[in-house]
Amino acid sequence: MRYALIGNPNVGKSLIFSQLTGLGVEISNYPGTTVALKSGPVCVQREIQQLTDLPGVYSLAGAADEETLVRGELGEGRVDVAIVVMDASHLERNLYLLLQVAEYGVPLVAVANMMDEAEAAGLALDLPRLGDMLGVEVIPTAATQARGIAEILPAAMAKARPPSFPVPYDADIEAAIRSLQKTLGATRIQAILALEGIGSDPAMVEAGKILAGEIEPSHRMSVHQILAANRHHFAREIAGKVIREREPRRGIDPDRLLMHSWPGVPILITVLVGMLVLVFFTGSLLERELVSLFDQFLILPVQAAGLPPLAATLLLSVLLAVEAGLAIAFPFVFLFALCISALEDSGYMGRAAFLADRSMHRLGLHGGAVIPMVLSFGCNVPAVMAMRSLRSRRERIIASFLITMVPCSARSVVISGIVAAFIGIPAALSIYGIVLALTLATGLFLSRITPGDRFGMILEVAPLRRPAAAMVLRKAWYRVSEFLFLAMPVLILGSVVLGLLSWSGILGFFQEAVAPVMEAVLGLPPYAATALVFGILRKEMAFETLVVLAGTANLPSVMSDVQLYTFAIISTLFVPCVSTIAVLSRQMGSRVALAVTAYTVVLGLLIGAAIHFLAG
Amino acid sequence: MQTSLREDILEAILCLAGEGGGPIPVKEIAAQIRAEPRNLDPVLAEMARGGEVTLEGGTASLTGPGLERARGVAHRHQVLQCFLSERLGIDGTSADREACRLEHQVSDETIDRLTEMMGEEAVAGARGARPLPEFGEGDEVRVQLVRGSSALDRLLDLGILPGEAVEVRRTLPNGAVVLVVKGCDIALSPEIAGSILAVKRR
Repeated sequence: MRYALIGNPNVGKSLIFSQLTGLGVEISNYPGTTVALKSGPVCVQREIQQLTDLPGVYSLAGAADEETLVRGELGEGRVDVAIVVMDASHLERNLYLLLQVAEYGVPLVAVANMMDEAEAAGLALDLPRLGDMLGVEVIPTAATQARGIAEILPAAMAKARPPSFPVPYDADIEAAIRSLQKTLGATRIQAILALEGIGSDPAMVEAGKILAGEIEPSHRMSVHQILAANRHHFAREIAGKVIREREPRRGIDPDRLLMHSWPGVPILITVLVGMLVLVFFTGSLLERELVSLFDQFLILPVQAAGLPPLAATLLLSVLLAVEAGLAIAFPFVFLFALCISALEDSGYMGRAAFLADRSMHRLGLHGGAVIPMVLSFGCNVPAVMAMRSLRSRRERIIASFLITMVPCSARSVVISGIVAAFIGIPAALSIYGIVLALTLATGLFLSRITPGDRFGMILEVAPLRRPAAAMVLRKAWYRVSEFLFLAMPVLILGSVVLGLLSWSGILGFFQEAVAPVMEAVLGLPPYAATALVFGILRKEMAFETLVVLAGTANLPSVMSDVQLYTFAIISTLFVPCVSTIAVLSRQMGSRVALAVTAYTVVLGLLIGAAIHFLAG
Repeated sequence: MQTSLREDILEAILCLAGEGGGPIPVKEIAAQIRAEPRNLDPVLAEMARGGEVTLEGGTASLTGPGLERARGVAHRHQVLQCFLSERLGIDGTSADREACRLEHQVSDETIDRLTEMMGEEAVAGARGARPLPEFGEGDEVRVQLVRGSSALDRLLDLGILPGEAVEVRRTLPNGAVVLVVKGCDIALSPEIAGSILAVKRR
């Protein structure tokens, strides 16, 4: 048996999922989409069943990835029992999705979650009556207080049944459904989908299109609009009979401050910059400790052990990769994930997206992109993963370029370690200035040339809530493990390849080969090329390798200020690290990953050369 | 039974209740069409028998077919009023009164031709429909028309469709808007908010 949680975004599905499954979560990626399905085993009456957390959707009629996926799961019989999770404080809106799920005829139970919020808002819900009207079991829960959660699975097991409350559609729509049922032998749901232009049978979809074309002129509405209006009307009718009282909103409204340009924008900037500074300082401190522990207890002993050269190279490469992974994952990704999860759970991100929408538009994106863009300052990998929330491929392509150009915390280490330490703070800030200006210019340019539709932002702004510590930790942990799971294998492989190249002397050969270019075009010593190549593994390694190859930590004694500056800016700009490339090609395909890599390499070398010829 | 009175009642309930269709106290319906409540009772009872409204404790609400018919009347009114005021130059109040009389007799074909001639947007605009960013914070409005393509299907899912009563909660100087729809706050980009036309509710 396979159970699935279905519901609007932000109704507490994920919390219910994690309460029901505990920690046994598997992540699977569905072919053809970039939407991850979370599923895990649950125990129902001493039997192991599979519970899947389907992505949050508002409707099943659209063409978005998540909607297509949920539709497929329901329509192709992969779900045995649907558990429809609703926000009890916004019952009417949530019933809209329930009515659509019901049309699939899958046995279901309904969960009225957030009963605590509904009660706080002065709503009295007659859930038994709702259950009678819908003909399904309705379970009241308050997931944040773990209230009612234990009753969900037993009810889903024993009382789930196919619903019996079809939406009464407009007479013309009903006639069209009957005609599709009669002529082509469609089921009711197939007929409705065909009218919406959805289906696997071309004859059916074609017939649906013709019927829709006959209905639309006389209604002056598209079939989508008619169906939506009928469903909303039915949902309102049901809600009207079930909700008994309503007190108006009262109390102070923090959104008066958060969602106006003043003081909303200064607050937004303070929150974001504060978070970056916090993560950067705490993160680099932790990273230094972690790396020194690693060096002291693993890397130095291996180096001193006197193993045969090939074995030593291989072992060291693997250790370096693990070190690189952990040194990014825990100090930076985890801290950042904690902050972002807390911000997300508090509902602040919706406000940030609303305020940032206008500036994001100039870059060909919309307010929702503020989340991946902010994430990218911490680490590009989770930022690329967060791009899933962008609706069109056009936006995801633009975001791919911009995210990989933003100086992540690892690149900040290079900038602070080389430029701030040896040249000065203003010079370090100027690198940020140049990189951000290039990022903005890239966005302006891409927004003009990238094909595809432009969407504006239509975003539900969830009420502000106090984030629950356990949920924030769990989410952050989930993000870190996703990062490790993705990045580690690539890091280890990349590191071993680099180690072998260096051991076999190919890297030395490469260094010789590019030396003239390095010197003539960029004005850098030949070994800087090797340092830059190692930077692909983990950006700070560009800095560390440079120190090793230069033979001194006092870099100004071997390189001029202009050389140091050039090196720092090239390593900041050129090629995102291996982990980023890996996630990028998984999310967007290898072509986009390749294009981003090529673009950043060219840009880095061009800017480096420009600085060399202007200042050198 | 007079058709025009029945249609006026349907139109009045739609106007007061929006797409939800009620329930609306009979007194308010009477006030809306400037009639005596007791004169309406027999008509309403007749309409309830005809399946256009349901009556419950001194209130009336529209049924599905009733709503459909009410929409038709309201649309005829809008088109006629737009034609009279915009094309013929008759002043607003007189055009409204005239449209009230004509709406009960005019044929669907005439209405379709008039709509085609003037364009849907002009019809909505003549009724005082303005883009959302032009309203102020706290304004309670009713959506009249959503311009644009299927890219805006998300609006339908969230319940932002013609007839829906919503509240403008925030506006930014650039035209971005936060709406309260069915109790949920929905943030809209300027270009999307600008493609939604609405009128102020009383």
